[in-house]
Amino acid sequence: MRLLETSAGPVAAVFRRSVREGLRDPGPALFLPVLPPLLLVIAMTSLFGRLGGVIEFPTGSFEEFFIPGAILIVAIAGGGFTSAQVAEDLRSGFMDRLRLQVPNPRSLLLGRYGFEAIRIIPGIAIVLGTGLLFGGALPNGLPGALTISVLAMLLSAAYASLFYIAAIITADPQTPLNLNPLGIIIAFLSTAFIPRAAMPDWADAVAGFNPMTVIVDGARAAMIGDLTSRTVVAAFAVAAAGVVLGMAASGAVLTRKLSRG
Amino acid sequence: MTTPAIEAHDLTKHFGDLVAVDHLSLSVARGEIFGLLGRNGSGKSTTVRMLTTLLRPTSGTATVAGYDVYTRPNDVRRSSGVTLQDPALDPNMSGREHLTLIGRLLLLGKRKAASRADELLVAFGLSGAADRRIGTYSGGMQRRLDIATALFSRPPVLFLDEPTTGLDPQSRRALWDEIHLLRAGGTTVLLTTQYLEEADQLADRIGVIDGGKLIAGGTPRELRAEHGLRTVTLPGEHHAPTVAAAVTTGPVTARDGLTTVEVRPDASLDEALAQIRSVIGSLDGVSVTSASLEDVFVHLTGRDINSAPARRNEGAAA
Repeated sequence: MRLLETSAGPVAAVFRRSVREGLRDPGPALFLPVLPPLLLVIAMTSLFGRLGGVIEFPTGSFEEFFIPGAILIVAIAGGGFTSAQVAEDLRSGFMDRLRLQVPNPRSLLLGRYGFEAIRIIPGIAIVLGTGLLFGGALPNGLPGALTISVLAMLLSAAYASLFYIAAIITADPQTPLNLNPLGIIIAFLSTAFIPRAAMPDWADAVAGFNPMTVIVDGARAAMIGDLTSRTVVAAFAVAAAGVVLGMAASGAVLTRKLSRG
Repeated sequence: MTTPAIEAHDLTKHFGDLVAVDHLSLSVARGEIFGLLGRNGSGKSTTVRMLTTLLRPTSGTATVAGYDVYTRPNDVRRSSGVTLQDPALDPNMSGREHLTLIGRLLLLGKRKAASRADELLVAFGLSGAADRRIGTYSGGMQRRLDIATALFSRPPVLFLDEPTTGLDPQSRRALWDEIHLLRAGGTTVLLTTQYLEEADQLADRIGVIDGGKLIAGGTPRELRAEHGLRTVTLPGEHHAPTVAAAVTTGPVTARDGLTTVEVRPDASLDEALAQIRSVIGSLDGVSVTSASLEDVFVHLTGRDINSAPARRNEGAAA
């Protein structure tokens, strides 16, 4: 309880700082994550709409299958925006200054996780809206839209932990940015774009272990399937576990880094 | 007996094979300004980082405001303010945003944090620039903001790691005045410096650190008396060997129309003057020059303070 009391203030303060940074530089923070999925939605639905006749999609049409995956790409594209500032804070000594004010250095990251989750909300709205215009479906209405949004936000926070760890270890603002191609691999080796049945055996095997697959399947079920299904629950469990593990790992790395001076 | 504000016993820090700080012991009384004087790489900053809990010592013990740095690090942090060697600021924030953030991290409410931020901005002459980006501040303004940050929670102990490095003489003097004011308000200050004049002007007591070891300590006057050579200058070039034969306090040289007799720290000046009188008959025109702190430093370390750091300390023990 005491830990909660002493952490809430710093977490909120760091969150507000992240928001200010994001608003100061809205391009990479808010709009960069929209571009790749938006282009994918337009290009893929225009070019590969007829794939439905070639590959059997569990949702019926390629568009209906593809749009939930594209929405989750918002969480991955431009991932870890705030990690560059974490590295800069470490490099400049500002992290030491912040660390001296708080009982638990982990609280200095939690506020940033919060911002990583919310900064993709405009992107989700844009890609969802565009996806619906290009043949996507949302039979579950607003509850479905909210559910897929929360899943994407959790994914964004979980994915950001990889960037934080890289930023903390290297204290170099450029290094986390080099991790961005990882998102492409994670997405393609999941069910974001095509069903596992259509994948080669090796990719199917990888997709079976890829947590992104569980989250995408849950997102798809939330949007066009059964909103209360086990698939959705599993997606939340995996995404939430990713956030918790990511926070724990990045917090441990930060604590270790700071104690070594 | 009052507990010292800062106390360290055999504090040691290894970075791999490098011994950055080597069994350093010191004690700073409450309300005192203690200057840690040493070259770049002598272990000053590493000492500060250990005392402020930013770095875990390899061995030794230390307390700050009565709290153990190992077992009560949060209390140490609550009781002390720190400015590190480079101002630790985010150039994209304004001075007001920065101080308010610090207040919020310290669990102050929004209003209280803003009010304390305003108070410090006024106190440190930054209210006119409060809403400007810190990146546009001069070095002196950044340093003042850094110190204001360290003082946000009104800590009883303040660590200033090379607070005036990179400042112009005017800003340096202004900062000295502020440090004197802090001491007058009861704050204990441990400052590190490589400026002899700064240590002389500010510190009640000085510790000389070299190669990670504290090799001498005392008031500036005590250091001069214990470790400084005094020089007696006689008018005229006397025959040096003759004078040297009579004077036992230090070497004698004669050139450029003057004769100088050095008086070692452990020798008596009165004795030296008596011996000189016995050779030249009178002390008319004789002058005595006290050792400067620089002389003391050279005497103690064998090199001047601006010389390159000892190889063993390169890098890690800045």
